[in-house]
Parts: sequence; C-alpha cells; structure tokens
Amino acid sequence: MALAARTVFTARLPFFEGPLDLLLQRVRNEECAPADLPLALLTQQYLEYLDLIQLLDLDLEGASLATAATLIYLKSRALLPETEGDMASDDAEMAIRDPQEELAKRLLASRPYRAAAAYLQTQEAEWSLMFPRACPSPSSDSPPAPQVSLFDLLGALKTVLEKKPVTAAALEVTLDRYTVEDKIAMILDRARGGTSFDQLFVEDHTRLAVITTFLALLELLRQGRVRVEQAKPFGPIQVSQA
Amino acid sequence: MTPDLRPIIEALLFVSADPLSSQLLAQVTEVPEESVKDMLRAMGQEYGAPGHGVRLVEVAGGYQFVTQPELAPWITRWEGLRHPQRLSRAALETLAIVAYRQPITKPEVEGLRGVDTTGVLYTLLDRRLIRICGRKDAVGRPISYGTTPEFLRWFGLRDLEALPTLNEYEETPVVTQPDGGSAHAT
Repeated sequence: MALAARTVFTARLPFFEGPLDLLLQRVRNEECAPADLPLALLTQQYLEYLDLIQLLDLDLEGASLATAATLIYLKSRALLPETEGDMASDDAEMAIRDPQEELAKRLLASRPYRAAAAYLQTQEAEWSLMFPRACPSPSSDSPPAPQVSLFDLLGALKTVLEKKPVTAAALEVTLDRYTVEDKIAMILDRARGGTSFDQLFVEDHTRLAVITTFLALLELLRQGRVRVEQAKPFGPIQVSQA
Repeated sequence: MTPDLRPIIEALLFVSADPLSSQLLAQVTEVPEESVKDMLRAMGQEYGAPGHGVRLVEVAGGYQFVTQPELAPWITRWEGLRHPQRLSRAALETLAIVAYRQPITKPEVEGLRGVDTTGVLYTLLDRRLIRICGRKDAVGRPISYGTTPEFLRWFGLRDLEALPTLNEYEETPVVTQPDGGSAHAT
C-alpha cells in the first residue's frame, strides 16, 4: 500500500539541523562557508533518506536534490583555485542568489511575451471566423504512387554514394560535424514543399554527410513524419511531409 | 475590348487561394501599382459596406477575399471546411517569442519561458507557423527559428510590422484566458 505523503529531507550536521534550502540560505547569507560543509556526511544521509523513501513508497521531495546539488557545486567552486575570467563564477553567483528572485526576474522578462500571446489569441479568434477560398481537398485525382521499399531506398543511396566521389576535401582533413539531428531538420525543411531524394544530398558530397542524411531520413520515416513515393520502378524518389 | 481594371482584379482575387500582392496584380494587369492600390482601397471600402458575404482584407503581404465573420456558422456547417484548431497558451507564448525575437534558437526561447519547449516547437513547425531559418554562429551551432507567411495568415497580419511593439503591451496588461477569450487586467 502506497502512502501519498511527501517528506522533506532533514539534514543532521554538527552545526545545523534542518531542510536543505535553509542550509543554502545560510550559505547565501554567508553565515556558513561552502568550504566548511561536510558534504560527505550530508550525501550519506541523503542516500539513507532515499532508501527509506523507496522502502515506504512515499513521494520523493525533489527540491532537496536540486539544493543538494547546488551545495556540492558551491563547495567544489570554493575548493578550486580561482582563475581570471572564470565563466562558471556567474553560475556560482546565480546559484547563491535566491531562486525566488530568479523566478521573479524571468517572469518579468517574459511578461511582454505573455501579453503578446494574449494579443495573438484575440487575433486568432477574430481571424478564425473569416475564411478565404478553400483549398482543393487532399484526395486529388493523381494516381497513388507505388510503395517504396527499403531496397528502393538503399538502391537510391548506392547511386548517390557512387555518383559523388570525395572531392577536394580529401586534401585537408577537417572534422565536419554532422549530426542526425541536423539532417533531420534539413530534411523536414525541404520536405515541406516536397523534394527529391537526390536533392537531399546535393550540398554535402562527403560519405559521412550522405550516410548521416540517410539515417535521418530513415528515422523520419520511422516516426511517420515524412513520406516517400516513387512513381515508377527505379525512378526518382519523392520525399514529402507526412 | 479590354475590360475595366476592377473586374480583372476582382476575378484574380476570386480565383486565387493565396493573398495577391499589389505588385503582382500590377504585373498581371499591366497597370501601375499605385493605380492598383487605389482600386484595392476603393474595393475594400465597397465590400466593407453591409450586405456583402465577403470582405477584402490585406494579409501576409497581399490582398484576399475572406468571408464575413458573422457568417462563420454557415461556413463551418458546410462539410468542405475543417474547423480550424486554436493554439494552446503554451504555443501562443512560444510563438510570440519567436515572432518578436526571430531568428531565435530553442535554448533562447526556453530561457525566456523557463520550461522545455521541444514539443511546442514541433507542433508549431508541423503547423507551418514557424520554420527553421538557419543556424546561429555560436557554440553547438544551434538551429534558429522564424515565423512563416502562414503565421501572418493565421493571425490576420499584413506583415510582421503590424504586430504591436513590445512596449505597447506594457501599457495595457492583457490576460490570456484558457477558454479562448482575453480580458484586459484592471
């Protein structure tokens, strides 16, 4: 039987007993130096607490974890020698600052956009009552294109790979960064208006780019976000938005 | 005998599924753009008078006939048209940020909203309200997003400049209602 209660983790340190956010507040007010925190002890207690929570099947109070992580971070920063122009010092600054304050700042910055969202909502409501000329229904009279099999795709890929020898890029070794994610974005953008399989590979001749693009296409097909069609056997393959 | 300018413009606007710019109309009719604009203004006023089923609007950089709003119940009753799906508050906020700050990357949007916006961005991309418009020249080369012509059409905007400036919102705080209306906070 699961209890729905939530318990807050209470730290029991030599000089402090209480919840973690109170401890963080002490650090912020400089009543307590980060370097002095007995974090090994604290972590041990937290792990015991986690075991207990799991045993009793209570809901975990997650904020403690975030605060604990912040304390560890602060101590680690305190222990490391300081270097000039340290980017991470801003993070430490922010971590010490009140999370409430951070939230308030963010809310203030985003306020105009929330107001803009309300404006857009009004516009949307007004405009949705007015209809332009209707577009022809999707079920048009063009014959349904035959199914494209994986072998058709592989065949097309083989053609692309054979057709594009590695160009002058062979002279210099540059580590180009292609991720499947990049290529997914590219394919989606092109697929919107409809494009051909070959068109996906025109810019990047290198083997790595071609393969990454192909993998991206397979992933999008798996997700059902694009569609491939081939009007005739061994004909060009069309890629479009699903 | 060449017909008058007005029927030609009317016919072109009738037949087109997309808004037509005054520039395009001028090209097709071989008439100076200023004359076309004058004609469109006059037509706009005529169709604005009561008794017409359609009105002439300026949206997404062009002109278009749209049905009068009070006729919406009849239009939606007709099976030919799907009921347009309104956007969620999260989608509207994200869209507002993209619209005003484009080109903008996903981390920048999330910095302002404070929540993960992956799902919302996909939805907006799917609905063609935003598009990928390149990459930012920064660490990780993140993708940057911008709005589309479909965005302008969905909200009935002539162009991006038609959006109020961000400062204007500060003056009259507006509250988004979950049910689709909106009210000015007092």
